[in-house]
Amino acid sequence: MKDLSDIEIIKSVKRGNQSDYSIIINRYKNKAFSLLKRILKNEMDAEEVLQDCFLKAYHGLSNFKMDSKFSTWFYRIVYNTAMTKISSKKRKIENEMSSIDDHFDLISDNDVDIIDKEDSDRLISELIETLPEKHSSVVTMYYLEEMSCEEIGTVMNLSVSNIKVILYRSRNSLKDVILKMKNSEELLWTR
Amino acid sequence: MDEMNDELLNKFLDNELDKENTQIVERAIKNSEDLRKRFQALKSVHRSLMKMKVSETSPEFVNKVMSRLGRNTDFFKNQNYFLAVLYLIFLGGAVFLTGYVVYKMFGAGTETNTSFKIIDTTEMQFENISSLIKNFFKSTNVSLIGSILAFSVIISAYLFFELFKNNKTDLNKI
Repeated sequence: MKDLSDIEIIKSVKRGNQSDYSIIINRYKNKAFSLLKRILKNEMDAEEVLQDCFLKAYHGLSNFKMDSKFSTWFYRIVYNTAMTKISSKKRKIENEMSSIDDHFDLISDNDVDIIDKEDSDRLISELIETLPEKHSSVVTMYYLEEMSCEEIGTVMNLSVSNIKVILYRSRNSLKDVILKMKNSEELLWTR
Repeated sequence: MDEMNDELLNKFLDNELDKENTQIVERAIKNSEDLRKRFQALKSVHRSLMKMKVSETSPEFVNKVMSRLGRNTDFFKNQNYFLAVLYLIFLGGAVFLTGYVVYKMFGAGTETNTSFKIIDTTEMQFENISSLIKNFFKSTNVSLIGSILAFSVIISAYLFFELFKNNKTDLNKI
């Protein structure tokens, strides 16, 4: 049963086999949780919102067109629910500041000494959580969910070129952090 | 220019440049130490991002969602039963009324055997029903009916509020 495609499982759920929905939950829970954790920057909120997303998806299965990918449709629910959660927390102003035209500094010069001692892979992973919501969403979907820019565009309701701009900006700001490290030379050429 | 170079470096990293531009970037990286360092840093970020780890939900997450799903489905089932019972009560009432009228009609027919009598009886029955309704809604009764209705609405609203509150508490317990 676990080898079945998403569409086959959904057809089974629609036929009344509610328990088969747990396979879908198991398939997407961790990746969707990683995405939500990076958008909401809070584990408890992320898990609560994820539960709501799975319930919403279940009750909205009748609206799901079988000719499209379930993952894209589901991540759209996840992303929109996360955005609603952020708005409800009155973080709208902060959200607007994360538009693609805005510049942001991930790290100040004073922090370089501290970063110097950290492992760079773990550091990069931690820094993603400090990126603005849109940026961390794009990076997570691109690298962790292995989604194409087209799919991410569909999820976030943005054009492919906008997604690429966000992705490049995110990478560049992370790159600048690496370059600011005192042992950057050592880090870059030993990898 | 810097922004442009960074964009080019990103496209180069993703293999999105055509042959001509790829060669231009390759040459530039070869000739500039600064650009080489920047590209290496970008590659390093790319590699780190590829190694990004998936976070895991709590172990009981699936059970939580499935039990919430079960509760929601039970709620909709109960709601459907309630509507079905209401529908049956109305249907029963309508069938009883129709049966009563038909019985009176045929009862009249067997007594005298004339179609005029049946029509007269039917008219009489309808007159009786309409006069009953008229009496029921007389000005003296309207205030009484209104009070009873308002009281039932208040009681129903309170019961609905309690039901909603209990459901919410149950959901929070999950």
